[in-house]
Amino acid sequence: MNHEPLALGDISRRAFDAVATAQHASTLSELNGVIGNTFKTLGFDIYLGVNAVDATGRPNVELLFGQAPDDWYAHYRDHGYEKNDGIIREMLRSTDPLFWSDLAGRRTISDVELRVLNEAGEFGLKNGFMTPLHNLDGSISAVLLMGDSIDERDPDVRAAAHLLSLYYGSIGRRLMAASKGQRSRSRPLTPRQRECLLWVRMGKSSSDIGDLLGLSAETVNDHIAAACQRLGVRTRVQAVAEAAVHGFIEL
Amino acid sequence: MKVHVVTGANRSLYTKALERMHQIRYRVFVEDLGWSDLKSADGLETDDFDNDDAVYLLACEDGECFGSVRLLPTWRRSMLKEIWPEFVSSDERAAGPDIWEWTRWCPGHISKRHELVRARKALFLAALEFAGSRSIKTYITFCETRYFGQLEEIGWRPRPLGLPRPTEGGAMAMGVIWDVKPELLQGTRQLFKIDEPVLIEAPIPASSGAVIHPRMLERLYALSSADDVMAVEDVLGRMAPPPAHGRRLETAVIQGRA
Repeated sequence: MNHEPLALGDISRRAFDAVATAQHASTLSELNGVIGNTFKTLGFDIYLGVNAVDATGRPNVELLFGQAPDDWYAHYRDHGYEKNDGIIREMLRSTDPLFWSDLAGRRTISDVELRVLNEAGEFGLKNGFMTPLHNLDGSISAVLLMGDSIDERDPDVRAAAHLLSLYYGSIGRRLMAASKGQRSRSRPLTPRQRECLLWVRMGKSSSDIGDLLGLSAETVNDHIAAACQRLGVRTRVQAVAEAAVHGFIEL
Repeated sequence: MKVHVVTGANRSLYTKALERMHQIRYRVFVEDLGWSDLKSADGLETDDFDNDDAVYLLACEDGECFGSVRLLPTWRRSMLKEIWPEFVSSDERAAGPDIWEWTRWCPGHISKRHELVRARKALFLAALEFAGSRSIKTYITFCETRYFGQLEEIGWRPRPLGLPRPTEGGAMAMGVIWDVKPELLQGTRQLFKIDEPVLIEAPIPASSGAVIHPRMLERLYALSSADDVMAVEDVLGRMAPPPAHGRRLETAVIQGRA
């Protein structure tokens, strides 16, 4: 029934095989092993799933899974580059993937944005490819690929990078949600933790919450920190969103 | 939100709803997404594949159509094969008696956001229920990659039919294929927290016997108690002369009129 199929190039074949295997991955490390290796054969040593906007609509840049380039990431965070990253801006305003080098062709780049890109190059990350993922729950994630010498002009490289990123991003998010689900199913929030998060959601500060509940601000912070731990998140804003997703609090 | 199956055989029951469907398709594809090659003077988006073989799943609530998807039996015609063959490079069979194609996926317009969200869930479920009724084993679709994540997110495990490529409008798209297994319906029902069937297929209007209007059918399916059965008997009595031996509801069921 298949006649005159287009000749499958080596890159296509590799990408399809990786995707087929990745769909059976049951852990993030398996996923990294399968798709990560294929990213490497395309020249991308670094591959990460990141979040840019959480399900409640709040900008919140964080690493979800993958191989973060530690030096660059530390430098990036120290300088607060997530606020000035032209690539993050593209994640929010577009659903199309792009090479960093495409950015100049899309719009004017600000000086700060240019500096971020150039400094990445100094850390050995000259090329990058970003695939946005606008999710059903309203959150915006992306898959970032980075490397030193990528054949950007080969349309199959772009297509394969995009295909693998789509699968890496969605399977990665699914595996993360599954493992988080397992954690918080067995460890629901205590009544105090839940109460504190409800007030956080109303915009109250720790000392406000302390006044409301008859506790010290430090105790409130402890409860919130413990809630973050249980939910597997880093900030109180994430804790509110995560608690809502699991039905521990209502938004 | 319920989903009505509209085929070449029962479409006379759905003239208004189908017109609404073409209007919503126009607003979404031509006006919002800018697919100008589908422009038309009457504000209705139709193409060559809107023929008698097409099956429409219409998501309706309170008599109004909010969203739709068009399913094509691939052994007759296929958009992927005819319009986008360069997007298919895989060895997988993408046409056959047990393969149908999703086209014109249009869960609704953003101006009715809540209905869109409900219609989207209902249409996903309806397509799986419809697969059960027609022995469909596989669905294929031409998918802009921006929507790809949704299929993966609901657990449908789509496979690529080719590498993604830019469409004329510039957006990346690719052919995808996925298997319909019985567990998929159960799993999707659990995910959406919808326990009951959403699909309604109105019987083909015959030259003899009463026509059961789709709205009536929705109400019939919503009934569940013994009192309701009396109510149904009453309704049927008003629509058609009673059969000679009584037991109107039972007869109507046997004759496929309920």
